[in-house]
Amino acid sequence: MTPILFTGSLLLLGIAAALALARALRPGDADRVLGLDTLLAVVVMAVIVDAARRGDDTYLDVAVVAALLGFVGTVMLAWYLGRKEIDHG
Amino acid sequence: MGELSGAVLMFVGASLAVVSAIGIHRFGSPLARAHAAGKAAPVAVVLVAIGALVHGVAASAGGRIALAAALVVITSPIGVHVLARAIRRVSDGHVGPEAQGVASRGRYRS
Repeated sequence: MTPILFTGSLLLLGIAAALALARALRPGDADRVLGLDTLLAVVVMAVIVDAARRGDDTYLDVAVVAALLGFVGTVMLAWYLGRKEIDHG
Repeated sequence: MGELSGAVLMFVGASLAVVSAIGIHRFGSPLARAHAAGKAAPVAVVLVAIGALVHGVAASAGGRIALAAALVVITSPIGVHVLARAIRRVSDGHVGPEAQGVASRGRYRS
């Protein structure tokens, strides 16, 4: 039962990553930032699930760094998008 | 028993992530998409982290899992809030579905 749940969780996270990536590939600056932010959150979840599935904690640092970099990137890009004098066309 | 309940918690968290991603994919206006992204992501990450801790990992891994979950919980609402404020600012307050053409095409010069 447990392996099925692990595989299903990773499959669902893959679907979520694909949907977020589809949003990031469509036009629209703010939507791209939002899609990539969600993609990084999904990556954090996938790393944690995979670490629990294999009992291997080697890659958990990736989850911490991805969570940090996602925040910094989102705030910087939002700051850039919020400046009115920039022409986003 | 602990392994099974941990796996169930992780599965619920992954399902919540899919629901959030469907909202990001399908919702009609940029602020609605920010709403879908900001609410569900921290809850999903916390569910997955608690599931991993209940399932049982190496002794040194618990702290890092909790740290990653805490980082997402603290930073994700702030990031989405800042992004939503930027969307609202550049679309001059027209934030309903009628603003989709403005914000989606990326032509929100003012």
